[in-house]
Amino acid sequence: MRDLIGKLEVVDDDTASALRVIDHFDRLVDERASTAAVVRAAAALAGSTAGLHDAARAVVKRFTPDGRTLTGKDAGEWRHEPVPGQPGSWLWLERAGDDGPLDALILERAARALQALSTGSSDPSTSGLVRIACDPDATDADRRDAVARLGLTGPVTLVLSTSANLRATLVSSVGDLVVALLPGTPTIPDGIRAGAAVAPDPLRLPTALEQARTALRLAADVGGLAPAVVCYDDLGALAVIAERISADEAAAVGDVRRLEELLAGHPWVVDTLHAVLDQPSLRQSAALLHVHHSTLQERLTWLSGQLGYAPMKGRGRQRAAVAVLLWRVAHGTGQEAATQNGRPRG
Amino acid sequence: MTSDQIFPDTPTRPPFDAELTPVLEMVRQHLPAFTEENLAEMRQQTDEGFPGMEPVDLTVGGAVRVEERQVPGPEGAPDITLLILSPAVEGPARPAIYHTHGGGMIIGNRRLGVEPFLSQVADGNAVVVSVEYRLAPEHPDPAPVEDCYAGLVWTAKNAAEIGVDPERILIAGASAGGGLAAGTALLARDRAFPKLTHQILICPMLDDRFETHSSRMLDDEGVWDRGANLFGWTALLGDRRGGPDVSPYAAPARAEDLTGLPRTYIDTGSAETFRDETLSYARRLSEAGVSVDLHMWGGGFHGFDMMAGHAAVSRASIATRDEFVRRALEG
Repeated sequence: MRDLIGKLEVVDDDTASALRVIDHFDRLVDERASTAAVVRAAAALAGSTAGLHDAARAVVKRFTPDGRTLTGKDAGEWRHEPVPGQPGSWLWLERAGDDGPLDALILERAARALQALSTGSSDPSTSGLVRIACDPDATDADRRDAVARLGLTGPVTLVLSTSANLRATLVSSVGDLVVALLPGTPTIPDGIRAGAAVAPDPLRLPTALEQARTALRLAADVGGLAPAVVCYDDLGALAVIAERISADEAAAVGDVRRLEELLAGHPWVVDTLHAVLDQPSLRQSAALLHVHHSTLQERLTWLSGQLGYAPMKGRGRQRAAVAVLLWRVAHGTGQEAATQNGRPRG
Repeated sequence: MTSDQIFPDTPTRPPFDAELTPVLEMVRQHLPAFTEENLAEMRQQTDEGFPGMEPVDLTVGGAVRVEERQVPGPEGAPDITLLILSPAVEGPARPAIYHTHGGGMIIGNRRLGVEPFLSQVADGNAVVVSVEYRLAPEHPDPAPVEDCYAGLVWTAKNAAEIGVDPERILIAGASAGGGLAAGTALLARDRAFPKLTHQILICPMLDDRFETHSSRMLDDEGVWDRGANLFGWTALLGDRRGGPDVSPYAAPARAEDLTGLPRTYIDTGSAETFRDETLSYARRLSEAGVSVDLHMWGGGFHGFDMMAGHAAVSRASIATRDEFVRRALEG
């Protein structure tokens, strides 16, 4: 598999590769594979020798990416990933040079898999429980059981992201997306594109999942001016638009098509509209956009001409706000659309 | 015959090995289904590799000389291409590993599956000759197996030219390549040329009849399930599949006489379509007085050790086979 994993990693974007890492270790847990199998999987997925210091059994296991056993002691200089619940046990990758993009994730998931396997029971994995808790088709009894096993009682914030950098204890995959459950209403980490929703009661997580999906559709890319993390509860009436209008329908709206045409030659168009709609003054909008306010004024004059309405005033402002919102709806589903991949037979 | 008639039931199967399971899922998500519509895509994927993937370095960093020859095909048929991999360091004539690639008789090329034998070439122990045979359904039986045989004949007759000892040729192949290797070995025996020292049949595709338990037990599961297998055999044999007019060279499980075949290594996973035809062929070869090494790996899906080489069961399978090849090449 070393080869096959390597091949597939190159093909896919990072999120898909990361999801495969998560799924791989989940399956090993579901299948009650051996601890050695988990370490070999880490080596194969990382393309680097991996090791486990197993404190309870006082043994060291090291494997090459093609699964060969290596003898030898702990190599102390590698970064240690502790195995949760097993004091003194840790995993490492013997990576010469820079870390691979998935190294941290591989170690983390491998460590959690070892933790899950060490319980000696045939309980479903944590991510399996997360999936059941969020699954609208699960029975109430199964959901109640999953929620209890996850230790969730009060409100839960559900975060749905296109990024595998969403790190949390309770994490799983839903289609091509990563879902994390955060007890309470904590601050959501930035640096990822995500939608979030709060389930006031953990048994309402399936609803929160749908709401987070809606919020994600309105989330902008990381690094842009518009927020990359959108909370459903902040949307209010805006949520209705994202819920009721499909990406295709939004893309077909005349004002959205016009934005798209203008963007082709003027990549600043949507950011500019976002800034002037979001900021109280032109001066502050210009600061946000890192342009001189006279430049901004020129752009807005040009935009008014091109759009056929003035995006800063009255009706025009509303129209521009809705157009930008719909533009996001039109663009927000690229990842989610591919969620339900059929599994072809081999 | 409808598939309901061919597969009246779905008998039970052993579980897949726990460590192999995640890889199996990945494979199933990424490989297109074996159907007529997907044929072009499957061939392209096999020929080009996955986009962005590094191709296998056949030269092993310069230790292996890579050469291709156009040689005569069967009488009246086009020439065929042989991929010839020989040690870069000159030496005495070496044993040859004549390789027939896999791919269900319908996909694949001469480079597919030679990698496991490369280290023997790099170490100066063997020359690998891999044949580009014509594929079904465009070229149904007997084109594939006759191409394989023609390439073998050329290799034996021109052994000196490519640094091969013509008395020490073994044949090896996996999956459909295993079936073609077995069929070519039968042809070589019946036509009394050339002599083969060993046949290495890796999870071989031997039987077109779907009468065994394992040939029916995988329905949209594992790798190369019964539907894919039916597609492959039908591509090769058309309406003749399963009927009385199939030659043993196309489906070696049909050969009534297995005497005089070369020393055999044959293996299979316990959770694959070809399991029972492999076990049966091994038993019948043994009954015919052929020396056989048989290995069945519990929980293995079709091709498990090629796709999940890191897993413990794969390590065991690869090490066992490599050791047999090493001994075979020692003579």
